[in-house]
Amino acid sequence: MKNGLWLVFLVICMCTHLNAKTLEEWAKTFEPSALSYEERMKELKWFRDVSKGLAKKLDGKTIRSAAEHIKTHFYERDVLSEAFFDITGIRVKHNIIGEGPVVKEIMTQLRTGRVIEHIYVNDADLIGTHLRYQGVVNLSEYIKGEGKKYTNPYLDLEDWLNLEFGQDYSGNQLQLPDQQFSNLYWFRYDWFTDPKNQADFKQQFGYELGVPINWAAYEDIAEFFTGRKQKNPDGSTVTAYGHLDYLKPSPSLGWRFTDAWLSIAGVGDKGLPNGIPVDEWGIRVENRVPVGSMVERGGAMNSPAAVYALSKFMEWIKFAPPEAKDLEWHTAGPRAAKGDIAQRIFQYITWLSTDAFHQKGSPVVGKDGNPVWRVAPTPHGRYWDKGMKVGYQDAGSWTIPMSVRDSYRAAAWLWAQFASSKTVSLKKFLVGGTPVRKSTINHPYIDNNIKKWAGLIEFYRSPAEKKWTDSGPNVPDYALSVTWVANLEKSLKAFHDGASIPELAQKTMDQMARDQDDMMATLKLRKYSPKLNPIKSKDYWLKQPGSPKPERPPEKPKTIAYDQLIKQWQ
Amino acid sequence: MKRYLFIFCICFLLSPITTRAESIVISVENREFYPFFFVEKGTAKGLLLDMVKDGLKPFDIEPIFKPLPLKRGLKMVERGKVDAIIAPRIKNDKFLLPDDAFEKDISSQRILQIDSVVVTYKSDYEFLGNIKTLPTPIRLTLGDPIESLFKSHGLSVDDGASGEHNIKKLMRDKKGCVITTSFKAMTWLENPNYMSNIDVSTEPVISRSYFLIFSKNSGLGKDKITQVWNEISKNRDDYIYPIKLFTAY
Repeated sequence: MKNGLWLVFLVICMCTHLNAKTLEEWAKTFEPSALSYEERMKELKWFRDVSKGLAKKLDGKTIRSAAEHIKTHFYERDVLSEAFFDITGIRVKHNIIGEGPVVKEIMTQLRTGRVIEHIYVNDADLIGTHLRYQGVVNLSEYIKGEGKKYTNPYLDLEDWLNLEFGQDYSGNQLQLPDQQFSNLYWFRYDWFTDPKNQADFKQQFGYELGVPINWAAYEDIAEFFTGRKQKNPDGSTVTAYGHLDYLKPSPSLGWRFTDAWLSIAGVGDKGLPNGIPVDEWGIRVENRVPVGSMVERGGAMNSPAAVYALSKFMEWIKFAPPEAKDLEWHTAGPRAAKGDIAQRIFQYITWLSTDAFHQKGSPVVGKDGNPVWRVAPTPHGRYWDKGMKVGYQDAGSWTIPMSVRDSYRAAAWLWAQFASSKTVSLKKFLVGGTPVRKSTINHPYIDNNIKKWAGLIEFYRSPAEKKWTDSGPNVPDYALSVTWVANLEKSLKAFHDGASIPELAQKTMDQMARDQDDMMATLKLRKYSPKLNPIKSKDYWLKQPGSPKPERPPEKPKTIAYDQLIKQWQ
Repeated sequence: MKRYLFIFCICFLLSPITTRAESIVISVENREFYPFFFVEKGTAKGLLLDMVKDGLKPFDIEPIFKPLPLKRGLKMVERGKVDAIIAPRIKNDKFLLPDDAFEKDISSQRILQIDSVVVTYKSDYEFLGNIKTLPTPIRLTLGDPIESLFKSHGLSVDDGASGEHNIKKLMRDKKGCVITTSFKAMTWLENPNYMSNIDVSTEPVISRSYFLIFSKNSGLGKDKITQVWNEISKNRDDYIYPIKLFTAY
């Protein structure tokens, strides 16, 4: 019997070995790539050679990493971790969990020190937390010191898009971007350029149907398309909706707002990447120290602009499909591909790589196989001023908690570099649609297929891209976002029960600002910990220049033809 | 008239007592195990205590925490002198623990999972899971139930009054190791007195579910106890609750 068991064991070992691909095979797998075959071989050989001692030391141990459930990370789990093991002998378990659990896990690990994962793909929105809490590895220092031996000589940080998202105030890299996701305006180019739609729109509203530059135009377009019969390239006729959103109580309801919705409405101050002194969360910061969210403290979270932001979010629900109330960010993400949505103001590009947006026969794909939808700049609200950030984008970024040390730290760092290496990045982008390197978006393969991305490549190649930024270093602790989730859930319940919108929005933002300040007051962070301003009258602050801004009258709607707009990006 | 007034006064004085929340006595270790439990100015505090308190709140039960050495606390639970204790799993006929406490290393009805890590004097040594390789003496805080694990491997153990005593001994002797929570170890890594001379393992030496263990003599009853465990688990698994709670430590 024992002999039989040994035989089974040997067969399993042999099969495992037989399934492993060689270095050459993997180099061929990652085609197309920004690197030639020879260059890929060189890079992969470096990974193989540097890992020899480490793999032996870790003997059978597994590196645990965590990332949210999007296609990019599934590819990392299903293909890249396998390649990494074949090449380095280091086993990685890339756990794909929801973004909520990723945030919760890393916060728990930072606060309790318990090693849940060895590395996270954590949004750079948390940079303010990491730089203040000092709980993650400073990669700039690691690369120069202990981790020098394990740092890929072909890494080429200059090739990264928006590397600054993961940097502290002094430019130290605390997080290394793994996948970029911007949030853009999405619309049906075929419907917008339809002569009948154009004529009817002009007759009804007195101006041209086009990409909305501001929220007033977005609202008119939403009203125009809602309930209107429209045809899709697959031959189907639908009753269209002029808007799409999601309202389901969940952590993602918080991101719907923390991901710059307030600054898109115009809440913050001028300044890039983030408004100074008031940022996209409505937090006023003085000398890197947060001093308040309430208008009464010089913040803008309950300012007229913030109330307007929440009011419009609620008002526009009437233009969205009824199921919006049951959608979360990931279920709403691919929803527009069903073919009955005319436009969406808040579309994460993460979901545009979904097959439904590209497959032949899809209601949103033309007969030539190209999308009939496009992406364009985010329209802004009436409080927005030139010089402010325009929209939101962030980078899921490799982040190593300080509690991960020595061999585990080195192995985790190797895995992060491998998964975002030049060898694999283009292939990973073709699967997941979330770029991380300039060499990816500027590659000839992309030029030859540029229509497939419907404006996204033009966006990433344009200098305007720098106006889309993440939650900046001024947000002292991402844990504050839980006060947003709790208050928005409560507020939407009241909204569904028929509460009047402007009053409800004011009440919600007042409470949210108060709660955020209360929580900030309790934070004890290692650097730039919040120190709240004393309370003054709202009037005092509203009369000061910049944010918080006093009430503004409704703006005149403005649109622009897409073909004219895209030239600005080219 | 005077009699009625007297009766009225008695009723008035008694009425708050009859509506007051039920209270239970919970023993908690009196050693320092920051941020999970510790004693500050004679009062027991910590994450585990907050979570227990919040788990009891919907049932209108007020906990009274009694800091005691672990062994004494366990005896008190055994004899029904206190209602419950916050501790890792311990087999005892007189204790009530969640059903999966002995089936899984991470119980679904734990309060929290807590890891202990190895702190060594700076060297090439890295703990990768084999207890027998630990440098000795192994320094623990007095009363840590983990002691038996090391003794069963024949390793020499040195009990110190606190984590601070242990780290100072490690610095003085330049040999052996200290077992502590990962949280505590991280604070030492930031302390200029220790940071350049110590190493902390990534791999935990032990990972334990901490429970609210009830005495079978507690008047709460099995159903209510299960509801309390469920409430603690619900809070722990929530998105908002733990994130908010952790910011206080």
